[in-house]
Amino acid sequence: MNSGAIGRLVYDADCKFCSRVSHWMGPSVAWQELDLVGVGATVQQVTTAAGWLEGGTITAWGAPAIAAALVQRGGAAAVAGRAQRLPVVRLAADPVYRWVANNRHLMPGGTAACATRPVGPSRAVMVAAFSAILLVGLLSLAAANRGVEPYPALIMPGFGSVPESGGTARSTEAVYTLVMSDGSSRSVSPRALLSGHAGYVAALRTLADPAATRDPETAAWLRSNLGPAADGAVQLRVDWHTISYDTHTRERHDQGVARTLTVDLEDIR
Amino acid sequence: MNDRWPISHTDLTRFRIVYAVFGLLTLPSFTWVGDYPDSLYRPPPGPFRLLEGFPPAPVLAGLGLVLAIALSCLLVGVRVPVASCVVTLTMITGFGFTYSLGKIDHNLLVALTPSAMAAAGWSPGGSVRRWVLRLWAFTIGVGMLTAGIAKLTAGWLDPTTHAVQGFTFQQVYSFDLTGWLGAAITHVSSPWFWEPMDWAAVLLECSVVVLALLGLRWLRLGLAFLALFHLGVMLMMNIAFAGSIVVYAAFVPWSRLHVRPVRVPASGWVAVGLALAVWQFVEQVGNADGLVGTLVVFTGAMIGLWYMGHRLSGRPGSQTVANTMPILRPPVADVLGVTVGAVEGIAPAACPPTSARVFEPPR
Repeated sequence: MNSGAIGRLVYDADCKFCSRVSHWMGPSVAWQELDLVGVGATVQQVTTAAGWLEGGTITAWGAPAIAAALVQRGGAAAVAGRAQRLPVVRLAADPVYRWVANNRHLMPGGTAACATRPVGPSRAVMVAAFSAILLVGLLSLAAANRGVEPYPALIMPGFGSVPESGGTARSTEAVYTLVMSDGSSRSVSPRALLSGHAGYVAALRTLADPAATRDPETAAWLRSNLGPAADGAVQLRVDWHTISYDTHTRERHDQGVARTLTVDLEDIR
Repeated sequence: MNDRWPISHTDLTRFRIVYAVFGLLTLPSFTWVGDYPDSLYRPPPGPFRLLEGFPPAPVLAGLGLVLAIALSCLLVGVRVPVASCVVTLTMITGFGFTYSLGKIDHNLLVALTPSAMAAAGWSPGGSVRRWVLRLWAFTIGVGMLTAGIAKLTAGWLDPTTHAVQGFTFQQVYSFDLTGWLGAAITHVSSPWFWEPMDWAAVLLECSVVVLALLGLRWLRLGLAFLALFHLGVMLMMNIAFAGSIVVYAAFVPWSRLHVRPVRVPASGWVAVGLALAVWQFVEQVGNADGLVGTLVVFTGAMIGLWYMGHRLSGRPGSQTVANTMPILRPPVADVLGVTVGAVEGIAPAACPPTSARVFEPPR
């Protein structure tokens, strides 16, 4: 289906934006309806730029093709089309056309499928990003092996040292005790310590850090959580017990306190 | 090495929907961490050490809301590339604050998945970049390798120690997590039962990176074994690595799933409305993390079993999930199918690709 005397704008029917603009400009034809060999064009050319079909062959591509269509449309459009032929305007028209064509998927009616090239970061950027992730992962692993795990880091759960040998499984359990002003003591559950606060009980691991336990803000927060239960309490003691289990009989043995930390509650009353 | 990685755009689009549904059902709340005093702010080495305490509650709430909106955008297919990056950033930031209380959950791959998939082409009308998928598979492999190396250096392969047995005892007796098979399985004391588990865990975790290099078929086989491995971990230790299952799901041929297209309007307003509803529910009531996590691990294991059976029986690739795996028929296949179909129908490409549109090099 080749052209006659009237020129026609050749557009990409796969691009809704291109279709709309071409129909507005006047006589047009989708490249999908053309015999590309007959009009002297390639798929590469027609999928990346508009063409101007005149006398059975495509005589202009890109900005000049648009200019020809505008001139043929007449009226104010013709003025814009003729202006494009001025040397100075022509210098600007080509890069503007190229920019619009390269970003036609962003134009009204366009989608990613309209793009003249794959949308997204370049391969170099992606390879650099993945390399950075992998490098950070390896560095993080090295740090984690020293007992300090960074974040964010590409590290999956390693679970740490093996807690079983010779038929004995080992664990560490924290026991929380309130020491009262009269010298007595009573145990308190981790949930009571976190009363009114959502979140992990594991957050109490932070109490293993002496700097955290010495901070008056921590003491005030714990006392507020405990409410009336903290009346008369002077100290919260956290004892980490080493527990062993016989893997044959499942008997539990308390091996004693491995570490103790205290939070002074009296100072903030 | 000459595996063609036949993952279609439909596979990725449906995976986006699966990821978004999972993300919304397990939407985390970060606001609770604002209840803790700054004296307990103990961030791990990294950017969170630049701060001196937890951010104000409105910031934490805003992070959750932005995450919900971004996940909803992924679900309905609006602004997918931007939403994918926002999901990654908000997850890393929000969890960074919660992990600053001293416990790190290893979910970076879950957070990175949307950005990687956006680059791979899971946006509506996008084209699949298979080399990105290969890189992502390799990244997952490296992540698993870090777990394998940590176990290897900790002595998991020592035949005189039994790591899985030790951790199962800790979970059941120290932490009282007696669900599923944990309590019952501690009655088994034979080293012939426990030691192979240690070896299997290390070998599986170290092999994924090699399988990713060998090709998609090998990777899928490795991920199928890993899905079963995660089911075992959940049954024995009560730890549901549902996020890992969802990460592996990027390589599931979702296009073989029967779908029932249901059209719903695709717009940013729909996404925002959905996000507000989910976020409000999570803030007031909580998310469905426990139930969804369990279902995801079971479903992942079933898909893994199906794939292994599929490979062993040498059945042709044209079989559908529901046809080849009756257990995935009602209700699981229907729920997945309706969910995927509901959203899949809403984002028709204005420019349907033609045979002449060739972004992928000929193979």
